[in-house]
Amino acid sequence: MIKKQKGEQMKTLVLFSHSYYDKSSVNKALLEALSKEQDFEIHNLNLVYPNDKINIKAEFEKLQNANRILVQFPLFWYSTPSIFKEWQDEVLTPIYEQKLDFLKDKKVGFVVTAGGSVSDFKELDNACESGIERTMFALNTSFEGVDAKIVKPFVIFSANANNLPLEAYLDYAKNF
Amino acid sequence: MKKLLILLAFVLSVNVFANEAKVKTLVIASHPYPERSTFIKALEQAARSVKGVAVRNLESIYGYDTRAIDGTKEREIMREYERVVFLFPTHWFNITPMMKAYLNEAWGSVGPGLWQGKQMLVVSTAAGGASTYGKNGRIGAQLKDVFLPMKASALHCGMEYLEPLVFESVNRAELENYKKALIERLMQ
Repeated sequence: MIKKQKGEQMKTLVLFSHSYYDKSSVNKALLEALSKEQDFEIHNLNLVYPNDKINIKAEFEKLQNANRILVQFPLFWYSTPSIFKEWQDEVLTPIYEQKLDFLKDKKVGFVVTAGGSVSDFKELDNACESGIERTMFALNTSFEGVDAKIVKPFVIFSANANNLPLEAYLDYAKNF
Repeated sequence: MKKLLILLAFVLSVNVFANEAKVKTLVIASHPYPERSTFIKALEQAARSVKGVAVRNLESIYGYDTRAIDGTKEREIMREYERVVFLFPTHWFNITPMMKAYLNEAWGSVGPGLWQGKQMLVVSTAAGGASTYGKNGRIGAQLKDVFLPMKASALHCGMEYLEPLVFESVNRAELENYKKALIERLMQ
């Protein structure tokens, strides 16, 4: 169990999104492992909002009640799933515009799964300074805009359900 | 005076017909809040005025349902064009939800084949200016470089990634200039 202060539980909200969750094997396995841990609330945006209509008030409450946030998604086209972009537009925008403090000084960690290998991304880095770091850039900048504390992402390259670094993943989730 | 006006009208009409894209172009336009859109709406209209350019507005066609996009149909349409233009407002340093869904559905699992050799042009507007973008801005990167994931996707598919056309600190007084700039790029 993660402790915030003596006697107080640290609650982590897992903001998870996956455009094709029914076909997922990697992220399903990761979440299954994480669901056995205490103090994580797994919030699967695609399952909660199948029609893409985000309940902003409910999202505010979840953020307010969490001590830290773990954003997890598979990388498609070097970017986040569409529902997560919508979550940013719908939820982060009013937080930013109305200067709400739901995320202020809270740690935000990222778990990203990618089908490509490390060298695939290195090639892209050389070709156009892109790759994984650049993908994280938009997200980091967004969360910094609402005064959250960004933590370096945990990236699983060449992600394969039969060979997942579960221990390292759980270690990151607990200790980021 | 009347003659002069007729002459002027003639010159203007010739100018309108002169707006023709050299490369057959498909504009994929998207705005998550169309009722609040000023710049994207105007730029979309400007694009429609150019001969050889077709525009598909994702929200007009599919609403806001990211599952509604017909990937097969979008790929069929794309076959007819040599250049794709992505037109959207920059919110949170990224493309719109529907545009991301379009990439997933239209590009999805087909691999690079369809896109090989085509050109990609990103056209975007941003409310933020120098305090956000550029070396001295909060994010320390230029707006045009925010879209490197699009560039990476383009290169992955064997496309030619054109220099993005971006407008920072958008301002209504400049709208005609933005439209002109877009039309010029479309005609290239």
